[in-house]
Amino acid sequence: MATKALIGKDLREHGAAAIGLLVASLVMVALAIAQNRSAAFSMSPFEVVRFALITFVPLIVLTLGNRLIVREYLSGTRLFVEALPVGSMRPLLVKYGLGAAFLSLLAATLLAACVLGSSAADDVTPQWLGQLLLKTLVVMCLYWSIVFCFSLCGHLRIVLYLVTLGIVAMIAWMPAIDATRFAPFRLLDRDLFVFERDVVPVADMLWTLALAAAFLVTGFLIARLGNGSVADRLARPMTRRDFVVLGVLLIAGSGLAGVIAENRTREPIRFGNTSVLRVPEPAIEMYFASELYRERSEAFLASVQTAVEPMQARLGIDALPIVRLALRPTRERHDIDYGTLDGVYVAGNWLENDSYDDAVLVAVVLHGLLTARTTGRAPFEPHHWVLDGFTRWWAETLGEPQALQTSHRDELLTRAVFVASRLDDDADLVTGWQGIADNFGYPSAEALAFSAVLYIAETQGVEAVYDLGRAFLAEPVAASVLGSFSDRSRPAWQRFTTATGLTRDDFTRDWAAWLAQRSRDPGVAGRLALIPALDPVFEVDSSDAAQPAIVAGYTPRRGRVVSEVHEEAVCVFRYGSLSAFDYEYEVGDEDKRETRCVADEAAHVLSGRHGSGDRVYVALEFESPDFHQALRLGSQRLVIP
Amino acid sequence: MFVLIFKELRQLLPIAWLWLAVIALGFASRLIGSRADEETFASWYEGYLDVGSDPMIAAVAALVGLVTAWSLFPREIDDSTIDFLRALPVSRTQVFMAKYLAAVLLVSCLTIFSYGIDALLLAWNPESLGGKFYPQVFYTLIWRDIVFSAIIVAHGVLISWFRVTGLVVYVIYLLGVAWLESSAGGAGLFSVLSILSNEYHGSRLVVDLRAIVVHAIVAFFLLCIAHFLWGRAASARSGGKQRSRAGGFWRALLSVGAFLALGVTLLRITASENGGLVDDSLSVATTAHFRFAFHPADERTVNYLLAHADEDFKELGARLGADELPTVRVNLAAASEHAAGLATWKTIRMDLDTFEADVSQRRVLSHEAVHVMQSVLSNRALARHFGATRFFVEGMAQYLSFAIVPEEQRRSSNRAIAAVAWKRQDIRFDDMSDPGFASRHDPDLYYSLGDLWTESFVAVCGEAALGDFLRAAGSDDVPRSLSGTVFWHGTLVALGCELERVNDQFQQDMQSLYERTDRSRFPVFDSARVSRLPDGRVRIIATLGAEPDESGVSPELNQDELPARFTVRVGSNASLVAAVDPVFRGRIERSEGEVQIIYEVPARAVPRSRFEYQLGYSPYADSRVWYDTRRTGTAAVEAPAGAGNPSPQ
Repeated sequence: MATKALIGKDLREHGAAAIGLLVASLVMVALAIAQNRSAAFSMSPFEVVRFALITFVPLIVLTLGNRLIVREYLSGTRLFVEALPVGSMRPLLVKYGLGAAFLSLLAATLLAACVLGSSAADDVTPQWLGQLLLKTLVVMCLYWSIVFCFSLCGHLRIVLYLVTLGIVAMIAWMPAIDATRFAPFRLLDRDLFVFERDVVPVADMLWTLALAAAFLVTGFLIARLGNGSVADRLARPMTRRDFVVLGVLLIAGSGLAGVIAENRTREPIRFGNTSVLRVPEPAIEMYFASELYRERSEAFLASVQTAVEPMQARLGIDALPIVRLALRPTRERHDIDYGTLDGVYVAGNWLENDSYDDAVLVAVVLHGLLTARTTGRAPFEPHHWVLDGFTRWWAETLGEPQALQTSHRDELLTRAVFVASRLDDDADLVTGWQGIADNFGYPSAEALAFSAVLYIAETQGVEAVYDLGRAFLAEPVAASVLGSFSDRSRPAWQRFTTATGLTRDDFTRDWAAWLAQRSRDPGVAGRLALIPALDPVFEVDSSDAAQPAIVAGYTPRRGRVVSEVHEEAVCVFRYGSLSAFDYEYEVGDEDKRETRCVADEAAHVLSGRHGSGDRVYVALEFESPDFHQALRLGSQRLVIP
Repeated sequence: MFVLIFKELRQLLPIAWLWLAVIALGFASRLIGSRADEETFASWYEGYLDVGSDPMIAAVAALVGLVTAWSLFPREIDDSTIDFLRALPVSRTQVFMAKYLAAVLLVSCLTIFSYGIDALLLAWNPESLGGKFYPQVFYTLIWRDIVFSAIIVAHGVLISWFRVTGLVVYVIYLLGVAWLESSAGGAGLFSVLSILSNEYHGSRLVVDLRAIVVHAIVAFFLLCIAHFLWGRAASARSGGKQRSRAGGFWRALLSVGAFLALGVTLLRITASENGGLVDDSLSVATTAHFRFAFHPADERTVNYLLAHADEDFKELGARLGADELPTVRVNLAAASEHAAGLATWKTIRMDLDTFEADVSQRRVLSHEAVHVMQSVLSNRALARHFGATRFFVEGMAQYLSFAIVPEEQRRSSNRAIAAVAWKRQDIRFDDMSDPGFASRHDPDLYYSLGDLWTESFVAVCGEAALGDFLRAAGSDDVPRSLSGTVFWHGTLVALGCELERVNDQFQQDMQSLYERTDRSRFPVFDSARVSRLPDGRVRIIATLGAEPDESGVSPELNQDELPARFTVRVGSNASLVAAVDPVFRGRIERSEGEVQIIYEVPARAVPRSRFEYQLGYSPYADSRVWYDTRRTGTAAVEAPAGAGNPSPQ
């Protein structure tokens, strides 16, 4: 009788709202079914059931909890109900039962709407429908139990909802966590929830129900603990102390989540056993594709090993990640894939390499190792020139200056002189490295950095170069804002001075003078004469608004008219689309046009490829058998007006 | 008025603390996981600055506005504190405006505060390129977000009068937007989220002023209605509850009636489109492994499928080394503009209108059946790595379906298209396994290039490796959060096979195929002219030429062997749902020895000035379309003076 009265009271109070919610849900489901019908990749109207469960059903359950429980607990009217001779548990049980009944009705309505929207193609069988209803009810039971429990927590419930939301988001979206290992998530699986008919996920449903039961029991405990005094206390507005405690708990939780995310270490992936060479220490693996290439690959592997081992010792690095090298026999020589996500991975073609090309590739490997060692900090602009210069210097000399081959030295210094002669006066290795690499290409930027390191080695001794490497490239930097603080606490130039004994101004001035001297070395001067005396020019012709054109060409370089360009040499126009914002960009090989290297301001015309407002990277390069890598004459980032 | 606004701001303090906590948590989570001084403008605002709009970000922004608006009136009315305000010598309009302005001020301050921290962090990056700051974009984002919030707060003030009903109506509105985007390709100005849509001119952010003006006007009217309603709302203590109960009955009745009417209408539409549960128009036929639902008119085709389905499925099972085959439900009555077939878990839907020949339908069924087996054998692992494995998912389906149901002509044309795209666009394994492949290349290449890569995979690792790969990928030992490349390397190593070897083989096979392909059938699109016609349509005139030889010289275009069908694919404008890029036909025009292709794109497909498109053609009769790389076009929304009339069809 008392139960009936309690039910009647709640029905009178919330009946209209419940009907409203039910009808509104029906409309939402109908709209969702209509959307599902016209969606490009939908398979069945029953997908709406899962959609509803992860979108608006939680909102409805929240509203239900708010009306049935929160209002009474916050306003204190529950005390009137508890004063009645019905026991302390019965009102709560009635409320839970009413909520569960409403949600069961909602689940049935949801499925009924989907059945109405279905066709014979959906093969609606009683067994399958029953299974779907069961799964829906289990999920709703979990939702209702959580809301029931939190609703009894008064003002604390908002925080609890936020924390729950955070945990759900973390499980669902954090890559380190496999959501499919948790029962409620597995139960709501995108494919299985609707389309699995043969297997009933009994275990998942039981786990979900167990979770729901845990929340339910907690809710009742909160309600009855100390004869309801805990619920009373929670219903009162929160004090500052409560907020502080909650803040501490939240921060601790966030920290824990961070630790979980950080602790996802695993062994790096390794090559298989076919056509693979291995060196245990330092760990290097090489895939050489075919027995035909074994001999050449073994030689290259030896050169990588010879470079890595002493570098590790000189820089005092205790451990290095694994290096995986993959031979791509059909690639162009300097067409290299490079990654440091899982150890160091370099794919390229070393079959036709001469010693210069080998050094390029070895420098790439060292670049990857030191990047990985510093957890990605080494390519940060203030450090990048040291990374490029040191790795190339090491690849050329193995730390022994006398090992540097004259022809390599001359070619690298030619590039360095070429770039230096075209740089602005205020260009700086530390603050302008990205701009230099962007404008003249990575090979030339690397050559410039190499010349700087070579200058230090020749003037300050190799120990200064080792110190430079140790100062910038040997220590891991934390991948967090703390890493930034600790790294930036020692400015780049200060580090440089400590390592080399050179001040910024002295180094900049003396290195430039040294480089100017080197330009008169016969080997360098001879090579400089092989570069066409041309300056690049770029322009956008937007006279035809419907078909804007990019015009690129060459003008004679002032003060230099003589050049002895190789007859097979070509000038190449490369271009690529840019996003709205600048970052380091390397133009690809797929979009390029070649021409003879002669002064012609409209040597390349590119029309109708880009629209007004596009940003385009354009570069002009010189390719010649006299140089191992293309020499970029200049580049620009254009905006089509 | 100022005093009132300050009073409201004080009242909003708890909600301000809540948003500040959310902002603080957001910053903390990012700063814990990355070095702040390496963040570039683009990386810090990743997603938020992408062209178009991100529904998740828009939803969060809308939630902030709605929750703030919700805390303005309902509690004042319920607690009867509104009576104190009304006792003051100020008008109800002033009270209303003070509340609204306080809410807008709060979200504006929070926006500025959050962006201010962003600016400080971004200023910390010293890099010459990566550290660039974009003041125009930054300030535009701030004012646009504030305007958006002001509009959403206006929505929130009104819907909060209807309490939960209002919230439900808002959800219905958003579902309506999603519906429009699914059915019409875009919701246009109907969607308030279009305010947050990004477009760039160079590095300048261009806002959608039309959307802002329209929604600001709508928000103004909504505010007027809200003012009317809240101005007359009585507090609980002054008898509002009793009155509202009396009026509440009618309000509830009206709501229920309106909801029911809308619901019934929508259900009727849905049921009539679908045929309803008791649908006599569809026939059903079953085999040992399939249940087909189909239109009786398709009986001939279905009979052909019935005759082969089980046999083909068994062969597929044998090729994949499957111990048992599931029962698959196939809806042959589906209609789709986008795909001949779709498969999800043990369910397939096919559009029989896509192909004429029965054998093609059989092959599509086989293709979709491969997807079913992929899901079952890999325990849906490939779906977890979908971005990295999509080319293989589709490629394996193509490879096996063509092996089981040979269609040599179709397969060879697909492969020729793939070979030309592979060469001209320099596509590599890393490109194919990159989730962004479809945004740079033709998504149909997943099928044809994937087919060829799978062939190389089988040549290197053996045919049994296909099934083994699926089982290895689905093993519980495989971590679920591997990056694409690592997943590929690791899974193949588990098979005793080598990814590098497969890629070598693929490279050789593709080069050989490219050299065998008659490229005279694959002309190149040179320049393209884009303009908007007076009626709003966008015209693209593309010039066609022959492929240049190795020395870069283009021979004469063979005008006798031009492709029969030209198409252009325009980037979709949907923001809430996954939509397919619309495709439009083009026509050939010859003038003075030059061949031009004219495309005319409806205005609805290009609602703003800038758009992305891909030019394409079918090189062979009944073949797939070969698409060029993506281009960007600009066609001012206002017709330019002197724009020509549409040319005759």
